[in-house]
Amino acid sequence: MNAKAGVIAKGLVLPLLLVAAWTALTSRHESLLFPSPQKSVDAIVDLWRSRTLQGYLATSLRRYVLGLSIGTALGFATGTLVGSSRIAERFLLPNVHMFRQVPLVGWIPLLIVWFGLGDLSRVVLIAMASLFPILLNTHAGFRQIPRGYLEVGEVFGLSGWEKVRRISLPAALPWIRTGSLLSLSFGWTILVASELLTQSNGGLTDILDTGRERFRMELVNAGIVVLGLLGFAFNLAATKIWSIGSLCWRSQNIHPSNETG
Amino acid sequence: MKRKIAAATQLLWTATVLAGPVEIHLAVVGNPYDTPIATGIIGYAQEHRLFETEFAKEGISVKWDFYKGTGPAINEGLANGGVDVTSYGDLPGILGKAGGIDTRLIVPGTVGQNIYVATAPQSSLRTLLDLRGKRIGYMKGTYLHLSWVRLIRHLGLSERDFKVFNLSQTEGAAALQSGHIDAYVGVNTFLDLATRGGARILYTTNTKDAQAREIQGFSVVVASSRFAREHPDLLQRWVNVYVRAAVAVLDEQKRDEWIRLAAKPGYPLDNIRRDLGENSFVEQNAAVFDERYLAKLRSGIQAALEAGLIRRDIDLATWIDRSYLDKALKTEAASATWAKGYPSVSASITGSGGRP
Amino acid sequence: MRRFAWTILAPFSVQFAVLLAWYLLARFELFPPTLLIPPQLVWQTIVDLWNSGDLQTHMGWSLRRVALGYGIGAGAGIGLGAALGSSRRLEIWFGPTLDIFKQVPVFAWAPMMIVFFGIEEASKLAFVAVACFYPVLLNTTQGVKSVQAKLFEVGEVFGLSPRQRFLRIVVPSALPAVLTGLRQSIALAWMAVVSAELLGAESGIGFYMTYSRQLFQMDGVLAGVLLVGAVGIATNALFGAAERWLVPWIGEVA
Repeated sequence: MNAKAGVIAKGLVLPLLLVAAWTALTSRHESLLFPSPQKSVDAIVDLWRSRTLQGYLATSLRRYVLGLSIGTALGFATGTLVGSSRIAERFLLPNVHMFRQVPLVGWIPLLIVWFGLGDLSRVVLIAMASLFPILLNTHAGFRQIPRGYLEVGEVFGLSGWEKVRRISLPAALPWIRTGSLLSLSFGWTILVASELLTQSNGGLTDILDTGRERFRMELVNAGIVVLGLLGFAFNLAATKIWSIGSLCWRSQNIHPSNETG
Repeated sequence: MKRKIAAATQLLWTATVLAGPVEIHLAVVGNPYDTPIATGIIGYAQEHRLFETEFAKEGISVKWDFYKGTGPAINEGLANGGVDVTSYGDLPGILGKAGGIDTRLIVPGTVGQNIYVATAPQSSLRTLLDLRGKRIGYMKGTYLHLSWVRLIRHLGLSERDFKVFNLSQTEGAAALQSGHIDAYVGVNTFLDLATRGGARILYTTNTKDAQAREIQGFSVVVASSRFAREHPDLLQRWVNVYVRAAVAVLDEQKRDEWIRLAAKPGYPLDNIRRDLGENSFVEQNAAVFDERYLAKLRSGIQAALEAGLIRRDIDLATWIDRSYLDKALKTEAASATWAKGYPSVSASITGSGGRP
Repeated sequence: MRRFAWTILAPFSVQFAVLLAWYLLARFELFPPTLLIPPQLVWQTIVDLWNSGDLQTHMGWSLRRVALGYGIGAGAGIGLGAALGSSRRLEIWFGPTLDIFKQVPVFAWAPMMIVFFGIEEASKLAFVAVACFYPVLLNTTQGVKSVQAKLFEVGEVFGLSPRQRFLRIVVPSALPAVLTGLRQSIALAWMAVVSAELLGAESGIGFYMTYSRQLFQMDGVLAGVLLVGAVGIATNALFGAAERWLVPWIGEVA
């Protein structure tokens, strides 16, 4: 336990040093481009007091959760499909790959014209973003299952669906887990992108936007910190949920694919 | 779940006929202060809640949607059915119509909108030709864009001769001051910025020069054809209210009131005064489709065509629908001086961008 | 022959179906025509862009930015990744700091880059570099770390020098992971370039899409989407081919 604490402590030295140095330097001269961290903290506190931050948070979270749920559900279902059916794989997978290569942000102008400036366009984008990582990782998880496992299933007379449920899914679980975490983080990234590239949307990126427009760097810094912390929190929560909810295979030799899409 | 239903409904809205609107959506063009306040005649109507009162009897509510992205964003709203009636700039109106959005130009807007080409105060750039090859910022797709393009055409230049950045007013001012761009085509907010020493006005249309005045922007008031088709009666009443408001506010005696309304979103009063100059705001905003306005419209379309901003000409006869205005003028504007001598309904509107 | 039909035609049938659906939806105006431009008009726009030379100009700018930004970001990623992967001490001291910055959604850096560097090239390159950095870093670190202990023992048995160990054991072992990271990065880099151009630029494909949108030329927007997608697909195919050529001993990984 001491060793682990030691590792964590050592890791934190550099960040704390950087923050301390930054605070020290900026307390001496005012800089437009490098405002002191204190200013960012003040800005956040102000936003909290005026209840604007809560509003931003609620709006962004709403979009995120909705898009994420739709995307991961679809992605998981499709991933299972192409993972277990060669036919589906032949038809769909190359197209999935192709579609994935189209940068999601390019769809934004189109989505806005079709669905208006409301949340629908952003939710669709986030759903698209969270769809691919889980789809591809689920597929990879299925495909790496040794033929032997499935043959065992056949010997036992399991139906196709039973094979999936009782053999493939558990065997692919580490991959599915990786995929879901990647979907989570990429979905968050795209939420930020969708808000930045559509205007006046009431979400958390308004902090960044205001900062950039009015040249208030402390807001930009504050926004970055808030978004980063939230992303981290989601990832942490999801990881915990996975460890609690399922067995985690730890194998030295298995390296789940890190496809992010 | 509710959101999904709302979204599906929104899609249906663009494709089917509805029984009757619960709301009339009016789009308000954005401003540098992000305040959802309309200016001019519509601003007057907004302040006195004239539209709301008119339609309250049937329980029809009037919804004001503020479009931060100004004209181009409003075009998208018109395309997907989110906007019923709006007043916006010459170029967005032209772009929308030429781009296939089915709208009707129901009331002329204002003329005489100025541009202010600003540089950083310490900049060595003096004339427009000095700007060649430099970094220029403006809001693409707005009246500023068209006026700029017309301006440089006089000098034999085109957009390609510059490095053009699409920036909002606030972004532009910031970029100018931080040296990220060399010049910005702004609205009157740059007047007091210049007075405070934050910028220098290299060129403006706010002069008596005929050529400058020719390229001043104007605005159009359009209704989506779908709305006109489904609710001609409501549209007529909307125009009636508009004319009523025009009659109320277009009076040279009320100059200060007009300036106050124009400044309401947050503009410094002095900016508005200087922007208006000695011009007659009554003349600029007269709600009549007269030769003065039609000439501006034609030349605007012509300029957009020549600059390659639109690829198809616009036939004014299919765009302008004066029937609403003519009826409204008869019933509401009998006393107005600016409407006197206005030709009767049967006069036709011909021509398009290239032809008179 | 049958194999060929299966591999090539099957996926194309889906694309063909999509194209057909697009054409029919536009043809019968099941979608308002301003919102869904028929495919043939979009194609015409692309052809016009090519003929006028605009396509080449814009694409040139975008690709230039991708190449430069990617070079910087991926290069830094490989360098740092190799360092962190091979030295546990470095990982302990520097890893967490990098992890902290990794939490920030990559697009959140865009406004900061713009404030710092302005709206010209520097901010875009910086943003692209930051975007590509992490996938490469993570994959390289993992790749270097995961070089199995057994293989090192083999190296010892054979009496290889550290340099030989690096070249003949570490590099081939880590290569698949590094290449995966590089491939993911290029996709991200392309997205970063397009977004940077969407936010503020005077050239490039993203700029062209914004410009089309401001001028309400939906065919231009759609053309842009297709072009952007085409480049994405092409680069991915290129990288995939390179991967197969360089590390043929690893099976296809998605």
